[in-house]
Amino acid sequence: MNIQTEKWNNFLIIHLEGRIDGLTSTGFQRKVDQLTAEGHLKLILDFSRVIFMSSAGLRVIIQITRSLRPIGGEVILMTLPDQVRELFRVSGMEPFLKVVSGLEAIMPQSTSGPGEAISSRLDFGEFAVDWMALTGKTGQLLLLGDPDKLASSAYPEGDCHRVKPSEFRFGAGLAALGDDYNDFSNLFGETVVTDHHFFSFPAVTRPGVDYAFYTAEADHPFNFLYGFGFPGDFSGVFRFDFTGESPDLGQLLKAAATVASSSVFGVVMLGVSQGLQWMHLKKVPVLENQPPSGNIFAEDIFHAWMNFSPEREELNKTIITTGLVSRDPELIPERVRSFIPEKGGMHLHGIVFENGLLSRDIRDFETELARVARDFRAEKVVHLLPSSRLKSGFIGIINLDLH
Amino acid sequence: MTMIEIAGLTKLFNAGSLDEVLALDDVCLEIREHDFLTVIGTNGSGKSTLLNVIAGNIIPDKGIIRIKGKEVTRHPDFKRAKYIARVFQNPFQGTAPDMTIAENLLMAWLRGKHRWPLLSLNRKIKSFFRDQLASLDMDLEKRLENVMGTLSGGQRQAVTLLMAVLQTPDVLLLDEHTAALDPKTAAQVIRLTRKFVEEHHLTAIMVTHSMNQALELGNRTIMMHHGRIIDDISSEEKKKLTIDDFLNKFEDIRKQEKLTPELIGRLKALYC
Amino acid sequence: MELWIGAVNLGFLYAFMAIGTYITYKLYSFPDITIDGTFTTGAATASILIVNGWNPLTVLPVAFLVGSLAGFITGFIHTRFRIEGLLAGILVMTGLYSVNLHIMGKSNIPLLNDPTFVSLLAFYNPGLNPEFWNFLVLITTIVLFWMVVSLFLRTDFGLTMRSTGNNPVMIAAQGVSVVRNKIFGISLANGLVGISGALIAQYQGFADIGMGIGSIIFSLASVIIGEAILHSRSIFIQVLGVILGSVIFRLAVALALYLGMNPNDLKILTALFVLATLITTQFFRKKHEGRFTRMFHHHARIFRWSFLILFVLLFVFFVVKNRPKKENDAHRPRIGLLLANQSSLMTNTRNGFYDELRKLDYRPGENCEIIELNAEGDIPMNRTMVDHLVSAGVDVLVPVSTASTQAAITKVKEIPVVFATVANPFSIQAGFSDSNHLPNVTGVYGSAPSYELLKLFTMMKHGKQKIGTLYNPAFPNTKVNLADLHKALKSYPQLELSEVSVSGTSEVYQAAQSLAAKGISAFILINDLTVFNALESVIRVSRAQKIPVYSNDAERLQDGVLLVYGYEYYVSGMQAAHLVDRVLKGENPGKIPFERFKITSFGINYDMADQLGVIFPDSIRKAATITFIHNKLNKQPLVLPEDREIQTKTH
Ligand SMILES: Nc1ncnc2c1ncn2[C@@H]1O[C@H](COP(=O)(O)OP(=O)(O)O)[C@@H](O)[C@H]1O
Ligand SMILES: [Mg+2]
Repeated sequence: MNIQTEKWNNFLIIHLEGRIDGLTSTGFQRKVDQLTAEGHLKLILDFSRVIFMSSAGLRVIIQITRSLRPIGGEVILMTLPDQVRELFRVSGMEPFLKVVSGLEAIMPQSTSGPGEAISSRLDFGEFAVDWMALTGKTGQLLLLGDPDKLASSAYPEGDCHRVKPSEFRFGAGLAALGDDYNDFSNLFGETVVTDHHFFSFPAVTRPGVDYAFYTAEADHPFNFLYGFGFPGDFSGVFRFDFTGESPDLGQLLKAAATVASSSVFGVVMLGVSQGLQWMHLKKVPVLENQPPSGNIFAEDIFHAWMNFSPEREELNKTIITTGLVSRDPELIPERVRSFIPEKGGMHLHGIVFENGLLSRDIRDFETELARVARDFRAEKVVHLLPSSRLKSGFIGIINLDLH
Repeated sequence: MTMIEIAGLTKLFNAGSLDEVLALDDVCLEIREHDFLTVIGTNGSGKSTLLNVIAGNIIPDKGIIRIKGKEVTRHPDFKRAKYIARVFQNPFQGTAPDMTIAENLLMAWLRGKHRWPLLSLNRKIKSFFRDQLASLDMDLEKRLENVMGTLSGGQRQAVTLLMAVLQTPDVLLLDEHTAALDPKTAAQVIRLTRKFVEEHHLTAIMVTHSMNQALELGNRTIMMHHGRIIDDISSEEKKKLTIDDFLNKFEDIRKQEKLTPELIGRLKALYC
Repeated sequence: MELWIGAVNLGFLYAFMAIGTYITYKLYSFPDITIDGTFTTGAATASILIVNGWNPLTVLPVAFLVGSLAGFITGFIHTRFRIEGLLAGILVMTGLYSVNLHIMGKSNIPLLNDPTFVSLLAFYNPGLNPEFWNFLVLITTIVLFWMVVSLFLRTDFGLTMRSTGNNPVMIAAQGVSVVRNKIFGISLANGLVGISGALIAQYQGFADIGMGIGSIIFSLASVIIGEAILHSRSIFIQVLGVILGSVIFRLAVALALYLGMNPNDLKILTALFVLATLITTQFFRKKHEGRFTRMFHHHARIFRWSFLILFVLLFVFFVVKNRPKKENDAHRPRIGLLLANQSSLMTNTRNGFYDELRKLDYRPGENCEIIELNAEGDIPMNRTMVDHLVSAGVDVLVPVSTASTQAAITKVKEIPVVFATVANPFSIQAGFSDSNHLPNVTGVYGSAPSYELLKLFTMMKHGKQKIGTLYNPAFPNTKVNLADLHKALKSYPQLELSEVSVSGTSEVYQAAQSLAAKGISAFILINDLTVFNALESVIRVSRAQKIPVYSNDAERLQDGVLLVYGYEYYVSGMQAAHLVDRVLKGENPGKIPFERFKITSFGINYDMADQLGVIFPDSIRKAATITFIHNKLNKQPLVLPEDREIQTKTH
């Protein structure tokens, strides 16, 4: 079969030609996946030159429709031959599909991009992003535990700080879930809290099956060896969609800092990865595990303690990141300083999900954040390095009261 | 009871030359009776060498091997055959191609025994062989008098497996014995492997290239890399594992090799 | 008929060797060349024991053991030191040459008057034709042997041996020591070859140091023929094939000779046959890719047969090419001339024979017929050729050289034999004295006159002198000549002799130099084929060190020898012609005494004398019958002294 594309208002017309059957449907699927990944969410499938379609083609169309609907996309089928129309009818899918006989029947929306009216374009020289200002108030930064004990694996049982999920909307740290310390003492790991959902990756050599998990608003307390949290009143949202090489997180967040007002601000990001560099602990840094040298970064044991990616890896994964970013290292208050690594000026934890489609509408940020946390399969939680890159996505900014 | 005890096993190939390889590097391993050990590892990590050293095809430079408490480190292969049965990767290696199936089976039937000039390939033993072949489920029982060379690779491997257990060995060594087979036949041979090991309560060591097989078969898995055992996974741990864990482990090793003090310093500064 | 039954019997006897080769080559893919030596070892051991009074049958197990020992050594070297099988075989074979010489003490042991299995059988012969009686007994034996070998190869042990050859990795995994197993197999094979050698020595009536040469090729040919005619997976059929192959091979040899083929051609044919088969089996063994090989593989049987047919055609071609023009004129006397090799010794004798026959008015092709065969240095071949000449119906047999004569007098009892150029007919049991000898045998003999040569030397050089000689002890004639020299030396106490022995022409130069280094004042060369073939080496040392060469061979004067005194073998041929004439005229050879050479030649080389700074005394100048001066040989024509008897018979 042959596939041609053509832009029409805010739609992309896909001209299909030939047979769509078991043999050609995978090619068809791949092409459509590529187009949606490129951001084409409103599609018109032109069937005028299709000779035959089998149930394999039907499956592809249902799948596209299903994946585009939640993110504000749309699939319109145009000029169906009788055979295809009959297929839809027999399969009982007809009511769920939007079928038209020609372009005249489609009401083009305004050609302006989504959210253009409410957002503005900010140019940072090497790259540009969309910015939508919101009215979020400055939130209170909650700090738990002492990050400095990490390097020497010096957390005693008493250093475990419990917080109720309801008190903690966004945040990150080294935490575990549970009621009894003995149950979770060897399950601490890099943690991200997003919308009160808890994702953690236990720091064990062989994490086993259920290493990253998610809780709906259950009432188990979050137990932090150290951590930080903040409420979710966004002062604004960035949306970016880079073609070619993206700027890394360091550059991106430096740009974000220009719109933040507090010296350390909170970020919540949702995006698609273009290579991540990450680290995570392989052992829980509690006192029982303390190495004789008292330094988990000692050359000979570093490897036993820390997993990391030597190069950027993970492409096209969906990522949720929460973290703290300093606008200016000089201005960080003393009690916050130890929560932000000396280099890079940011402390970000990220959940790596399977890949999937995200909406491009800047107004959908918070609903998409909730959807991903709820529906996507998490693979791991890591400490992200500033050299990581996102290809497209959103950054929510939260100004913080540091006292 | 300990079946195999290996301590400090070291083997250097082509010592002193440019292509010197440390195929085994101070390997220590204890295998209990009825253990079914699977071995995975990168290419050239020394898995086959380990098996060859256990079987006596290669004499190690250093170290000790005990089988059933008896030291056999320097015993040649044929002297260990009374304990050890082998199935090789290459289906051509395990059987004599110009001899009949019956004759091959007889050779295995006499494993570790004295071979006198007696005519023991009689009707009685042939019918016994026929029964055994029937258990392979490959329609080979009718082909007792056919020469081995007329069998397919999978059939040969199945017969080799049967030969290995005909005289119940103390230890069964399997070196990627399904690697040369198509997936369907491989599955069949794996099924037989599992069946034989279970039926005869064998102690077995199976090298495999398939993480799946490593996970599914046996009660213990070791991972090898650069001549060392880098991981030893017990039966309970195995239940929780996925193939990704294996892959990560090898990935881990790769990373470890890249670590420099500078890199550690940088990572530390970015972490806390 | 005897020719054919004889060939079949030979085939049976060689079958033991072929089975040995079957074990090494087919079972272990190991062409074991050791058997070239082991065959002789078996023969040597058997012969020496028989001469010392052993029973001809009890020597067989001993031959087996000695052969196995040789095989054991090859197997040991091959497996323990990981030396290539072919190389290990060559090493042991080479070593066995010396061992065999030591066992025999000399290069040839005749068994003419000793008990052999043949004489033993003759004793029990119920009155059948002896060769047929042999056949009956041998075929019974060989059937038994066939059953035993086949059954053995089907026992647990035999199957283990076969598996070892087929897949050593597998059999080692079954607890079998491949090393021990291979050594055993190779020993067993060589033991069988030893038996074969012992039997053949008894059958042909002598053991000879060279009788094993080429064994591996012949037995490979047998194995291959057997495989081609009886292609089967059954071990019974395979073993039977090998036995038949051996018989067919011997029949083919007999047929070739019967049809008058040059044995030279037979050898290249055998070699080509074996080579072609080796190449094809290589093809089968390796699983080559490629269109040609696949096609080859596919049509294996066709290829096998076409090879066989090709060889039959080649065979026929060679036969036709060499076929003597036969005319069935019953009245023309037929003379069989058998030469041992191509050396000048042979050809000069032959020329003298022909020339003198012509003088006696025998015109080959007109009023007489001469069938000439040459064994080309292959000692066992002499025997087969004798068979052939007998079956060709010759009236008189003329073997030239000791080896040919030995074969002739062992085999031929009815037909007159007139030998020529034999050093000592008594050492091969042709008789006890010149007039008391075998009834159908007469001939011309004579060893070099050592005494005279030494006398001439003392005329040239007075006083205490060191002299040197070199020789190859493997030649029977050499031993006789050396004994002569030692005897002659007793008359010249002022001469001190240094000896060096060599085993091949390539060693002669070094040997001569080592003698020169001992400060000898002359080389005294006794008649020795090896040294004469490398005479140039001695002459080079002679020139360089200014040490003159004295020789018994009158035909080598112009080659750089200073002084010769001895016989021209041409004369031997001439005398033999006269003896043949007398026999054809009806005289009883038993009544004709053995003749010594009738003419001695004495030659001096002036050119050489100049180079060495030697001056001949007048007495010597005058006595010389041949001179070499200014590069020219001056020689009086050879005329036999007129014998009264000869005169009256001359036409
Ligand atoms: N006989 C040998 N001679 C030299 N090097 C060898 C020999 N056998 C194995 N090696 C080397 O030893 C290393 C380990 O080989 P092997 O045990 O076969 O690896 P694996 O089976 O794990 O793939 C490889 O680098 C291989 O090249
Ligand atoms: Mg291997």
